[in-house]
Amino acid sequence: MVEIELDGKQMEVAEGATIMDAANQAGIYIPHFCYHRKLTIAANCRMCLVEVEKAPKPLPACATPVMKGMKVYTHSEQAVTAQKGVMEFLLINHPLDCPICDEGGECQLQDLAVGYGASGSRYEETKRVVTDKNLGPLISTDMTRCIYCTRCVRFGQEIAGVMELGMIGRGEHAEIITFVGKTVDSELSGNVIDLCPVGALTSKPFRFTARTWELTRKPAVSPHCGLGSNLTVQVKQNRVMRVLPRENEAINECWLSDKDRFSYEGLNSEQRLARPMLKRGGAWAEVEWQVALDYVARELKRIREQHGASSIGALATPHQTLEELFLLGKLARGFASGSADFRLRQSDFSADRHRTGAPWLGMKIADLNALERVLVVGSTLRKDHPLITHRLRQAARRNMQLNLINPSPGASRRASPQERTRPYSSATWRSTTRPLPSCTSWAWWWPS
Amino acid sequence: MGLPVPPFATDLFGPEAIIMKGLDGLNWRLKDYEARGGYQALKKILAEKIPPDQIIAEVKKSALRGRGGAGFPTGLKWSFMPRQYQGTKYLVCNSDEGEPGTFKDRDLLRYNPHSVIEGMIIAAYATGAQVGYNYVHGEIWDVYERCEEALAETRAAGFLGSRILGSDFSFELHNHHGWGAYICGEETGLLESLEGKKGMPRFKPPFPASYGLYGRPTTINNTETFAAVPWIILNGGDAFLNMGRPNNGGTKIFSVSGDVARPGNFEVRLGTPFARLLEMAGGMRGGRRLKACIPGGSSMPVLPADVMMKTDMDYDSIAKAGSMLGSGAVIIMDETRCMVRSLLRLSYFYFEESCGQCTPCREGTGWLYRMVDRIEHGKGRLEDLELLDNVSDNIAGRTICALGDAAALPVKSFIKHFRDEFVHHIEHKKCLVPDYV
Ligand SMILES: Cc1cc2nc3c(=O)[nH]c(=O)nc-3n(C[C@H](O)[C@H](O)[C@H](O)COP(=O)(O)O)c2cc1C
Ligand code: SF4
Ligand code: SF4
Ligand code: FES
Repeated sequence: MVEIELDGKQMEVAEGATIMDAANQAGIYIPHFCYHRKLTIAANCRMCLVEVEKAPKPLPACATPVMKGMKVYTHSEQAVTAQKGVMEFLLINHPLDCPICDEGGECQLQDLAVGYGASGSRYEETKRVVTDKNLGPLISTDMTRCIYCTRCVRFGQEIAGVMELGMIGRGEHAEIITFVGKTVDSELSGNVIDLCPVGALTSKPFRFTARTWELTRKPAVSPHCGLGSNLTVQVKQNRVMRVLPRENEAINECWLSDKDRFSYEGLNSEQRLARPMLKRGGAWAEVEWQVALDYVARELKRIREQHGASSIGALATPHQTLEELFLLGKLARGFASGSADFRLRQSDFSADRHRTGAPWLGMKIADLNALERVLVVGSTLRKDHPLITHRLRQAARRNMQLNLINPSPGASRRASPQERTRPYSSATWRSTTRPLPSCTSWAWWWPS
Repeated sequence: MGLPVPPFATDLFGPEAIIMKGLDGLNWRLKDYEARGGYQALKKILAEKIPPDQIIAEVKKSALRGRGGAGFPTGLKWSFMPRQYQGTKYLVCNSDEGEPGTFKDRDLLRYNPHSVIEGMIIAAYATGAQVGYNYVHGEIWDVYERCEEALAETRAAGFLGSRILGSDFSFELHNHHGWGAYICGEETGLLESLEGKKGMPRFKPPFPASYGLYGRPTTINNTETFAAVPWIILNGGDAFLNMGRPNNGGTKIFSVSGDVARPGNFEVRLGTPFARLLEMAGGMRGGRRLKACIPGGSSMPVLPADVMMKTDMDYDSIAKAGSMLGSGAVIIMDETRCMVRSLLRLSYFYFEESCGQCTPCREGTGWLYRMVDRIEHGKGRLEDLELLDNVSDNIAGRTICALGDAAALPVKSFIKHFRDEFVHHIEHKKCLVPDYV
């Protein structure tokens, strides 16, 4: 631990921590744009400049490691002058038309401009205009608004594992672009919308449909994969307008896969079965919920009376939450045979005899980051579980050994170099014969 | 090869040259270099098995300071290299010379490439580097080719490779041809470029000595810094120090350009009066009067004639006079030069060369350029002068690399020393200086 003084208060921080870490620990806010706790440090926006005693000039809090006895002032005159100076630079070429920007109301630049911006601009020269880019069907661009924090670029390199965005050009001619003629297609691409601190990258489906302050927020859990990412569902006039990640370090961290983020659109689809139907005389007819439920209850009771409780079992999708599955199990035990299962696509149950308890991952999701070796059986990892893949990718960056058995061909071809290990061979098999900690449960867990 | 043949037969680096003595433009080959005492220093080190620490101590004693711009003590920099590091350590020569007004490294590599190669081999020995790169500016093809030829000679002579001259010291050296970006001269921008990435400076710390090329410990020095090393080893640190002044050891090559009769590179002892240097460069062209001088390359503050004429050419004296010695590019401007137009040219350079990574430099350089452009074209306002000064303050010292400062310092100094001209431009919408030459 290192002892430092932050805004006049003594505190202890871990060795190797930055001033920003120390400030986070102390609950002191230092303005920033390029810094993001899940990404590497770029130190390019310069918004986080703070005064450090004995340093001849203000230093970026996000990149400056603490040193013993360091005295830091985050809101001193020197610090605030530097921060205001940077804010002025950020605004000179930024369009000052928040009312027509989709990010308005939830924009980091707008928020910080309230505290650090001037009421008028001293810049009277022509402003820069940057052409918009086609990033595909999910992400909309307004590149003149970009402040070049490179969060989106680093996200691709470090989290999504595919470098789909990059910065070309120099100085004022710099631009964020995709690889020539390509769109952004990674399974995690929507996260750059959250990461972008301004209105340069926004959600195409949501764009201009609502303001953030019009939305009510409901916590939810993702129904799209077994991971159960935590969601915030944002609703306006009883209609789901968009879905954002709800931070949960144990599960999805601050990320969301594209299917979790964008499939709310299906809720409003015309093809969606929104009301219960009963088949009467060979034809489907819409009925009230109460009618449908009465019908189901009556029929179930009748079956139990005529054929016994053992004739009724329950099947449920594993994409349900644990709580919902628990309730279904309870129902099955109380009313039916007690048989409940979620293995909808499995045909071979012969291993059941050798196993007790429910098949599960065998470890906490967050512990995946720390694995030394992983054997994946028959999964298109990136498509099936983008966020599990991200955790394995982080592990692979630290030399975790990953082997795939029978992945679908497309999966390994598109995998990042770290993921793309040798295809299954007897040699790799032998190299992994030391029992993997959770091998069996993995096999159960990955859908084929 | 179509290299320019210099107008004078001997002493391309001026009559007072010591390290670059006796160069006539043709005697650059290995045999000529050896005839001038070349590779003696290396042979001596290897034969006498002089310990690396002793070499570093000698360089420290010589008070050799980096010739690339920052003037950092070279011996001290070498001593930052971790001794016990397991794995490859690198040595890099910064020949990316892109600073306007600077043209010494180019000529040094053209006419005396082996001095740099020998200096690098000695530096590698002292810092424990196994692999070295000489990063040559992208727009000078002939120089790159010459470096390749010289390196081939060195290899053939057995001064490079494994177990050099039968010792247990091994070192491999390569030339790398850049693409001509000024920002790739900044040491960490150069390392990124060498790694095959876009030349964007890294945030420091960590410094190259702990996290350099490919993340390995790396020492990076300017071409001229390396060229001085063999001389120091042969003649001793004290002899080098005594050629200059305390804390300003040795000789330095100054690239004198602008309104002088005989522009060129001149190697002189540090501490030589500016007037003497001007005289060597043939004095003012056409007998005109000196108006201003940028003593250390375009990034450094400009100084007016009277201050300059009283200044000696060494790091500390120039700093005292209010500028910096920088890369040693002495840009001379006579009375016919318009200072607004001169600043406009400089501001345009930094605006174009900013890598665009950090906010103050990316946004500020364009702002400065556009304001100076307005003033030059008769659309300035008096308030612009305060604004220019203030915007410069908001850039300097707030950026990842020193290009931000390099863009800000000229603006501040031009306005400080030549405010009248700026005011005249604003009030009369035309230049104070009658006509251009
Ligand atoms: C924008 C910028 C451009 C630079 N260009 C060069 C250059 O062309 N050549 C050079 O030797 N140093 C250049 N430098 C200085 C280097 O960063 C570094 O300080 C130098 O190479 C160290 O060598 P030295 O200690 O021998 O001077 C530049 C610095 C900056 C900030
Ligand atoms: S698009 Fe957004 S996230 Fe990407 S660099 Fe620009 S401002 Fe940053
Ligand atoms: S100061 Fe300018 S050139 Fe240097 S890193 Fe920042 S933007 Fe790039
Ligand atoms: S947050 Fe520190 S420089 Fe951007």
